[in-house]
Amino acid sequence: MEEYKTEYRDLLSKYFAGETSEEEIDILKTWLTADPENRRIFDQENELWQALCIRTKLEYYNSDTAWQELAARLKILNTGSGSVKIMRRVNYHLLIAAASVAILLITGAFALWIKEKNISGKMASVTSSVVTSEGEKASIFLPDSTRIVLNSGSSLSYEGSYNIRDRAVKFSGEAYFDVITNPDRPFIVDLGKIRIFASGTKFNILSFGNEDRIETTLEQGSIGIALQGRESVNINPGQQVVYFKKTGKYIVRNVVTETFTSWKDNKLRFIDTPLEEVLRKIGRKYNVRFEITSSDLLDLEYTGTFIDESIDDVMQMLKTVSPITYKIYYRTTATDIKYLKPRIVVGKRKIK
Amino acid sequence: MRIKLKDEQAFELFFRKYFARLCTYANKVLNDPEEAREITQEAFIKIWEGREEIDPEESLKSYIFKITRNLCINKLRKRKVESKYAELYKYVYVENLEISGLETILGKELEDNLVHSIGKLPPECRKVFELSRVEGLKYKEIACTLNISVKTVEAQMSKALRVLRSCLANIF
Repeated sequence: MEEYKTEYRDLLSKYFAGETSEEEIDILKTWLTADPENRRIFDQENELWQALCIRTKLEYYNSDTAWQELAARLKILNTGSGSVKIMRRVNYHLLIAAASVAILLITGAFALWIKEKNISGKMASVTSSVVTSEGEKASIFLPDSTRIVLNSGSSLSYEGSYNIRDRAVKFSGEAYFDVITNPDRPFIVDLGKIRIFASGTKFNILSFGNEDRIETTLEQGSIGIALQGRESVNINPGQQVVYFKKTGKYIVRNVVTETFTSWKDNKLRFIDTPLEEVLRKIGRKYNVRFEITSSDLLDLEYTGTFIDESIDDVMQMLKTVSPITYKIYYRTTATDIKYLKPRIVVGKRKIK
Repeated sequence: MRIKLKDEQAFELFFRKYFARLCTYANKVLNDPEEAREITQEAFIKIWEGREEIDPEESLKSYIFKITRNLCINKLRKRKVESKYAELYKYVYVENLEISGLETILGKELEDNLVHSIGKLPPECRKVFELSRVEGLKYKEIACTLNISVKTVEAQMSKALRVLRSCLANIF
């Protein structure tokens, strides 16, 4: 490639980036008209430039989301395989299918929905419960219009007496609470070892049975956290209490709440978030299990937002911006005929 | 590839195969990913709605490329801002139709190569490049973020592109 052409190629890239001055555009124009071959170079460079915009490709050119939009516009229904309960939203990607949203609206105090669909709780039973399986979410309106968004793999139950004397719910998993103000009837979340007291507030709780930590993040209003047999802790908006079940210790820290609540809008938002936490959240959303093979990676921090990307795209982006490699092992059947979660092994990438 | 678009599944397959490629193609002409996406969706709608009239002898692939191209050109013509900036695109893509061929070379192959080649850039060069082409920052913003001059950003971008260009030389 001759040197003068390289020079113009650089100028072209600058032009595609929208960084050229008027004079430079004039130079390019003269160059373009000088030789028909130059138009071909323009086209070629343009091709390269656009090809290099990885972000654009993942966000705008995702054919899964694009197809859903188009199918909806053209009223093409259910052409594919992986359909999802309740909401008629078609997903073709195995993993997205698992992560799709099922929305349940439960309005009455006796409304009842149980995972296996058998209405086992008879009307006589006054306990209502909502259970989400892996990769599902549910939105619940309680009798007092308090709204709860339940993340996947979570459960929430409340008695028929809810909103009579107080407003108590039992809960495990992850949920976002938007509690209607009522100072006379405190809203209480029973998490076993700790209980959260709230009046009119918005907060997020993360408390999975198999995890040691309970994270309570306050977005608005105020809440009190009653520790078993101990004092109660009050936190302000923008703060988070992390309680460790094994030791009974807790820490209070200031956080960007959005990082902890964005899951409810189907977004994963990270702000200087360590890799471990990033993978934990991705794993929960896409119903996959991660294995990290190199402890060096734990120092990596990420900032960014994932919205509708498929798990492949998410992993590809992580790989593009950091020195990692990954391999996805799709769903396999174990010897006892149970389906295992897809597994993603993340390792360190050698930089040559 | 010829499909009679009778059934929806065939249409979906066709869509999935060409959507991203057509978007990239449209973006080349429009230099606006959002608009490129809309135009491409529109092209598929046209295909679907006119599916009864499609000439079975004509390749569906060249047909959708043609529709997309025409939609892009209309859009480019309509651009109100007669800025100097838009002029070159018009010159290359509207006045010289033969330039924008039907095929784009963008496929899986290029992307794999690309990710690999980006990994090989020197660290500071790669940082600048990623902020521009992955994060979508303007040169000025990159300069601020990394506390370097806009000139340096430009130089690093040229360097990155030079390396990537030669890595991809066999494809182009």
